Amino acid sequence: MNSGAQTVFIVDDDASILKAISRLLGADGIPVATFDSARSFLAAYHGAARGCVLLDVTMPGLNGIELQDALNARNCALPVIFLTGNGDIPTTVQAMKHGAIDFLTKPVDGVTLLATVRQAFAQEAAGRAQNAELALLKARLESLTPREREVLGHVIAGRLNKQIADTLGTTEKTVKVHRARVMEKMQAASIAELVRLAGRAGVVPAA
Amino acid sequence: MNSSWITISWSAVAACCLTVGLTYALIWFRRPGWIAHLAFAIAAVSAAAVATGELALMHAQTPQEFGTVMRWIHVPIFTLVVASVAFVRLYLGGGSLWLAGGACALRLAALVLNFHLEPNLNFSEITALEQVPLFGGETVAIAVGTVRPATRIGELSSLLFLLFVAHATFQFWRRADREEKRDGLLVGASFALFVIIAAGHAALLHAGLVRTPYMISAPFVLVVLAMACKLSSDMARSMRMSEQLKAREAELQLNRQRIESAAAAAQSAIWEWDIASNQVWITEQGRELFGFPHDEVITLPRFQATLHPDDRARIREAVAQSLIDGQTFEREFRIVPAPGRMRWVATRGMVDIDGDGKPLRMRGLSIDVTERKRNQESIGMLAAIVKSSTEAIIGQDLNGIVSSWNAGAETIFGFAADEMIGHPVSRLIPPDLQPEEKELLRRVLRGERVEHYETTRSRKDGTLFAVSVSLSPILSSGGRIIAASEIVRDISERKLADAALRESESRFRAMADSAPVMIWMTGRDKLFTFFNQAWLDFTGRQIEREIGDGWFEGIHRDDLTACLETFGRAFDGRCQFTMEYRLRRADGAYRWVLDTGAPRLSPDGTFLGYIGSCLDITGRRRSAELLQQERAYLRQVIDVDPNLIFAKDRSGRFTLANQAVADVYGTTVDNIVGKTDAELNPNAAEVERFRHVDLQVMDTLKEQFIAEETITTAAGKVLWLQTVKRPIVDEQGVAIQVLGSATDITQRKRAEFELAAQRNELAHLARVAMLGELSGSLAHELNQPLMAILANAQAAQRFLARQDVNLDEVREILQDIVNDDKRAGEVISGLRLLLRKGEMMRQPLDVNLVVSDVLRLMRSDLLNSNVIANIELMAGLPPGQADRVQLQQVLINLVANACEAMSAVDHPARQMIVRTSLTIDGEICVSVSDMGPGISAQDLNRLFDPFFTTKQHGLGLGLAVCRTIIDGQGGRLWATNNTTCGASFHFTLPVAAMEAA
Repeated sequence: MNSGAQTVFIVDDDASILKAISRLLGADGIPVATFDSARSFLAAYHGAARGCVLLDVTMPGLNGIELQDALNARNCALPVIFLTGNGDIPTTVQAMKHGAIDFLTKPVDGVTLLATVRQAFAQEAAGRAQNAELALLKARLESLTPREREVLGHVIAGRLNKQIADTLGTTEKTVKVHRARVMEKMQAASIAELVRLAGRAGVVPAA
Repeated sequence: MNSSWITISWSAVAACCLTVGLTYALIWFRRPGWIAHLAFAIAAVSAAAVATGELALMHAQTPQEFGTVMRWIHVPIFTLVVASVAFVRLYLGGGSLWLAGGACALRLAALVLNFHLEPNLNFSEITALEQVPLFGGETVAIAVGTVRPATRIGELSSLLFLLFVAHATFQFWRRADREEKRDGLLVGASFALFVIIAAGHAALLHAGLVRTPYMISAPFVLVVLAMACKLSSDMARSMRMSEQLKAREAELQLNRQRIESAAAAAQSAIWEWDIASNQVWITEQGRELFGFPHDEVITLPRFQATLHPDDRARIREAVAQSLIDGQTFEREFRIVPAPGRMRWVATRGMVDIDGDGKPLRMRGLSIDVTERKRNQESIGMLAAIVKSSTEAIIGQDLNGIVSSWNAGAETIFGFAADEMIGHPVSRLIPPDLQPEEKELLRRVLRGERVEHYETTRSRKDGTLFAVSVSLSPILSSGGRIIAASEIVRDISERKLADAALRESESRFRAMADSAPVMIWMTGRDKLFTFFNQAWLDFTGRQIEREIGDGWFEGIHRDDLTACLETFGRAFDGRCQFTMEYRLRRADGAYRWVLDTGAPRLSPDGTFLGYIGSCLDITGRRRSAELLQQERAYLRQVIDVDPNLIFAKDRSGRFTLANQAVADVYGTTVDNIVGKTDAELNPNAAEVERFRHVDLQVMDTLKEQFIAEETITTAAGKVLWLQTVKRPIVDEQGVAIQVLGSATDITQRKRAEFELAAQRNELAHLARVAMLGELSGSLAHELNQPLMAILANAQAAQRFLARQDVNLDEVREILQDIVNDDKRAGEVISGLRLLLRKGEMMRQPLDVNLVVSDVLRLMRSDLLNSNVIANIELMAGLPPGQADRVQLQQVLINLVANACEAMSAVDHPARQMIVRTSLTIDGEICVSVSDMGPGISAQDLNRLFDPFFTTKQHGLGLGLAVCRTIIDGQGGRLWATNNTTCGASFHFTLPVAAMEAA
C-alpha cells in the first residue's frame, strides 16, 4: 500500500464497478487502489496510508459497515465514503455516526463522486497537519519536569505566582523561575499563548 | 478565209466523230451496263481530237511547233487505239486477248517513249518544214527530218490491232445468226479498213514514199459512219419490237379475259402459281370459290390455308409429287373458304418447266364439286341402307320386270339377284293372288302408295309365307312414273306369335282365376281390363263394375289420393310399384292390402300395360304399427336425454342421432342421419379425431372412454364432452357401427378454467407482494450495472476531452458499458417476467438453470442477510415440465424463507443448501435447506394453510400459493426438519415427455 500520495482505496465485490470507478478517478489524475473484499483491504492496510476509502455497503463476508468499524478500531485516519446500491435510513445513520464523510447512492454522478473524494482528501490532509502540531506540543509538554507541569496547571488556571507558591509550599521566587522555564520549553511568547497551547495539548488547569 | 477546204474537211471529220461519239455516250449514260457504247464514245471523241491535232500539224509554222504538236497527238491516238480495241472486244464478244493486249501494250510503250524523246517518237530531228502545195492553191506543212526507227513500235501496234479485229470478226461470223452477222461484219470491216488506211498511210509517210500530211482521223469516219448506220438500224428494230410487245400484251389481256369469262361460264376457277415468287394468280370466279377478297395478293401459304385441315397434308404431297415428276396434278379435296363453310373442289393442274427441267409455274383449273359430292354421299348412304336392309326391297319397271334386288330380298325369297333381275316379279306371287297383285301395281301406276298390305308370297322353294307389302311409285326428274319399288316384310313369325299369344292369354286367365291372390291387369291406357276371381270374391262386385276405373270406389277415402298418385307415377315411368291401402271387402269392412304392380311387356319388349297382385295384410300391419309406436316411444326417450347419443357406420355416416346431437350441429335429427361429421362440423381437426376413435373402436372391438374432448357447434361454440364409444357387432362378429354417448362437461370445464385463472391471479398477486419485499436487494442488483455504466461513460467523456485521446481505452470502456447494460437488461427482463400477469404455460425447461437464475437474482438479498448459498445441482438432470415464472416464484419464496429463518442465527453459521436431484419415481426434486431453528411439530401441520404465518409482517400466503403452484404443475411440495438443525422444503416436478424422434 502506497503511503506517498493521497490515494482512493476502493472496496467493492463487483469487478466492473471497481474498474469503472478506477477509470473515472484515474481520468482526473487521482491515484486509485482497488480491493474486491473487506478482508483483502484490511490485510493490506497500514497506518501510513494516505487518502480516503470508498466502500460498498453490500459485500459478501465483512460488509461495508463492519469494515468501517474495524478501521475505526485500528484508529484509521482515512476518511470513509460509502457507496451503496440501496441506501436504507438505518444503515445511513449508522455509517454517518461512525464518521463516514458521505453516503452516496449508486449510480452516483462522477462530479459528485470527485467532489466528495476531494473533500475527503482535504479533510485527511487537514487532520494530518493538526496531528503533527499536537505531537510537537506533546513533545514539549513531555520535556517539562513534574514540578514545572504542576506550575503550568496553576498558571493556565490564572493563578498569581504568590498563590501558586502558597499552594505548592514554596517561595514566590522559585515559582517565578519555574514559570519562566515553562514559558521557554513550551515556546510560548505570552501567558495567553501558553494557555492556548496547553489547551490544545489537553492540559487541564489545576483545580 | 479563201483557202480553207482543208480546215473545213478536218473540222467536219472532228465534228462527225464528236457527234456520233456523244450520241453513244448519251446512250451509255442511260444504260450504264452497255460499256461497249462507252468504249466507242471514247474512241470517237479521241478521233475528233486526233483530227484537230492533224489540222494543227498542217498549219504548223516552225519545225519545233510541228514536233510539239506531233508529240501531243500521240495521246488521243493512244486512247483511240485502246478504246477501239475495247469496243471491238465488247461488241463482237471475241478476238484473241493476246492480240488485243499486245496492240494496247505497244501503243502504251510508244506513248511513253514519245514523251522521253525529243522532239517526238517519230522523228529524231525535224530539220525544216516543207510547205507542200495542194490543189486549190492551198499549202500544208510537212516535216523534213530523220525518221526514228522507234516509229515501228506504233506501226507494230497497228498491225496487232488489225489482226485482232480480223480475228474477232472471224469468230463472231462463225457464231452469230444471220442478222447479227451483218452488223458484226459492218463493225469489223469498218475498223479493219480504218486501221489499214490510217496505219498504212502513216507507214508510207514515214518511209518517205508519199508526201502528204498525216491522215489518221479521216479514215475513222468510215467507222463512225458504220456505227451511225448501226445506230439507226438498232433504233428501227427496237421500235418494231416495242410495237410487237404492245400487240402481244393486248392479245394476252384479251386471252385472259376470254379465259375468265369461259371459266366463269364453266363455274370453274383458273389459277396460276408462280413458283419463284410463290404468288398465285386466280380468276375472280376462283377468288369467290376460295373465299379470297377481290384485291388480296394471294401467296401459296394463304392458298394452302384455305384447304381443309384433313386434306392439307395429302394435297401438299400430291403437289410436291407433280413438281418432281412433272405429271398432271388431279385431285378432289375440301376447302374452307370461310369459317364454318366447306366446299369440295376438283382441281387439275399442270406444271410448266424451264429448259433445265426446273418447274417454273403450275397452272390449273378448280371446279366446285360440292353438290356432286353430296349427291354421291347421299346416294352411297341410300344404297348402303337398301343393301343392308333385312326387308326385301325390289325395284320393278312398269311392266312388272324386276330391276333391282337387294340382299334382304335374297334372304326372304331365296332367289339370288341375278336370278331375279330381268325376270317378272309375278314369279314371287302364288297363282291365285296374281290378279290382286296386278290391281296393286295399277294403283301404284296411278300414283298411289300402298302401305302394309298383308298378303302371301311364295319362296324359291315354293313355300308360301305371310308378308306385309308396301308399294310406291318411282318418279323421273320430270315427275313421270317410271317404275315402282316394292318393300316386302316377312311377317310369318309375327303371325305365329300372335296366335301363340292369344292362346297363352286364355291360359293365363284360367290360371289367374284359380290363383289364391287377387290379380288385376291394365291396358296401355291405364284403364283396368282384368280382375281375377279372387279379387271379385273379395270385393263382392261384378267384373263389369270393376274394370276401367270402377274399382277405385272400393278404396278407402283417406288412401285414394296417395294410391292414385303412386299408381300414376309408376305407370308413367314404367316401373314397378308397391303400395298399401285400405280396400272395402264384400262385408263392408276395410282391409289393408299390399298391392304390387309391374309393367307387362311382350317378348319383343313392347309395353302392354300393367299386371299386379294384392294381399290382405291387415294382421301384419297391426304388429308393424305397434312396433312403430314402440320405436317412437324409444325415440322420445333418447331425444329427451341431454347426452349426445349417436351411432355411425364404417363410412362415418350417422345411422342414429338424438335431439341433443341435432342441437349441437344446429339441425334436425332427420337431417343428420346419413351424413358424416365432416358435412356437419366445420372443425376438420375434430372431425379427424372423431373418425380416428370411431375406427379404432370398430377395429379393436373395444369400448373407449374419452375423458375430455371438444366439439364445435354450428354456432361456432366449443363444447367439452366426455364420451363413451362402443362397437356394434353384427352376426359374424364384425363391428359394423359404433355407438356413442357423450356428456356435455362444458360447465365443469369452465369452472376448472375459472379456478385455474383464479389460481394464476393469486400466484401473480403473491409474486408482486414477494417482489415488493425483495425490491431493496433487486434495486441493488440493478444499480450495480447502472453505476458501472455511468462511471465508465463519464470516464470516457473525460478521456475524450483530453488532447491525446487513447482510443483503445475508450473502445474498452464502451465494451464494458455494453456488457453492463446487458447485465442490467437481464435483471429487468427477469423482473418483468416475474411481474407479468399471464396464464400458466407449462413447457420443458432446465430446472438447474432456473435455480441458478433465481439465486443470481437474489444475490444481494443473500448478502444482506449474510447467508451463504451452497448450490448442489445434479448433472444431467432431464428437463422438467413446468411454468418458468411460477417455478421461479416458488424458489424465491423458499430461499427468502430460508434466509429469514436464519436471521437469528450467528453469522458464520448462516448456510443454505439448494439441491436438485431425481427421485426414485423419476421425478425432479428441488430442496432448499436452512440452518435455522427448524419447524415446531404443531406448525408443521399448518405450514401450508393460507394466512398461517410465523412472521410479523407476513401475509401468510407465500407457502399456500407455492403449494397451489406446485400442485398445478403436477408435483408435490412438503417440508421436513433436518436431523441436525434447521428445516428443508422439497418439491417435485414431472419430467418433460421426450419428443418421439
